[in-house]
Amino acid sequence: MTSVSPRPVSTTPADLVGLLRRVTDKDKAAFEALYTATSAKLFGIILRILSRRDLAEEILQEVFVTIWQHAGDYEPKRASPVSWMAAIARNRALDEVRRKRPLALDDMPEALQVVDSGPSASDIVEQSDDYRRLERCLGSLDAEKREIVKLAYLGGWSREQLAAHYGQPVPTIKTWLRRSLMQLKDCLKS
Amino acid sequence: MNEHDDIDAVAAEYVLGTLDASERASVAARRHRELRLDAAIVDWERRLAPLAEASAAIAPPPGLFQKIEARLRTAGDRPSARSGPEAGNLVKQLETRVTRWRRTAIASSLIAASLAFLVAARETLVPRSPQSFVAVFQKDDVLPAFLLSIDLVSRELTIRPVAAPQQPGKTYQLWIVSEQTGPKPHSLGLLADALEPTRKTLASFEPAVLRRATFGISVEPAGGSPTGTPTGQALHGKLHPAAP
Repeated sequence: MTSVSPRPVSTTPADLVGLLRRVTDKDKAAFEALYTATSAKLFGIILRILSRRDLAEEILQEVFVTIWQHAGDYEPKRASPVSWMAAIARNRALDEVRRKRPLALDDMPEALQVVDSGPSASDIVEQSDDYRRLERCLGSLDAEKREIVKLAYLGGWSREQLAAHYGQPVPTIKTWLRRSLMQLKDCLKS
Repeated sequence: MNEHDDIDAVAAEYVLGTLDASERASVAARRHRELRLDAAIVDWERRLAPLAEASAAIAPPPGLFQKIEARLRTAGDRPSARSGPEAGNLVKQLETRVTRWRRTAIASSLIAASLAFLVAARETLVPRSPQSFVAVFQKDDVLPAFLLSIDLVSRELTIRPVAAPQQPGKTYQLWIVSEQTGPKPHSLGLLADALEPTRKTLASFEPAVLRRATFGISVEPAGGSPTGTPTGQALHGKLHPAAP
């Protein structure tokens, strides 16, 4: 992938909550600051799911229009600001990718990089306790199951794509996914 | 597998992203009326979000922010049919919009349509005071639509049915989920008449708590929910400033 942002989100979650509050009051300067702080993160999330720059740029625009219009719906108690915005971006990108004919793997030369695209060196210092706990729990899954969860979550792979790639019937993939998710949930509880 | 596990499994796969297009649309529509499904989705988003947050950032091309600004300008300049603040007129406008929204909802995804409806409803509302807020309870082909308005100074709440059929042996019940009352829906009582506005005063709630609360309306047996939590299909909404 090209033009990786030189810096991670350097704004603290508390700053972002403040910005979102100001965006609720239609503060354009706050909106621009929010864009500067989060657009590269959200663009990365969208592009890895859609694998097409033109489409990803279009969706990123829609996502920020939604954030502008619905910043008032953000509840700090339910999610961190980045988590709330990432959910909007992922949902929009996933709706888009599911509407289209599934891409063949050959169309997605970058797709398999998803699994390896962990945090960049500069992000590692900022790794949260939540991230370390999730990584530890993902580490408790078999290598193949862990890879499947990451391809689905980060790469937006469908059950059919996963089935084709792993040479398994779709119902098997479905069972693997459900079991892996429940195993993750139990692990995160402990 | 009990019903709770099933809701959790659907929420998990929705957040993971592996549901197909029609399953996604169905979950996106259901979460608006099923508070438990919505809560399960938010929990899964929180569990998996660190993975997205830790993934590499990729800078969007320069100039994209200007394109977003241009979209906001276009949206802001859209002509809107503003008119007097009298309630009857407002309800009529909403009824028209509900009808239009229903048609749109059939053609496009429910979530996109409900967002459009919220925005459209906001345009038609004339602010009475800066402390005036509204919530729109949307309608799909099975559920009714209500408009809730609240004045945070007097803490007076009015629920106006927009298109709510009176169902024999059934009643509508109003709920709140707030910091003050905890994660479970707390009953605010029954709607006296499905055809007439109901007024309530929420004196025991802090205005700031009300501002952030989620309100719900569920269909219950006559006399209200037998269990103390919503049992029938429910709609929910959050407050938006009545001034655009």
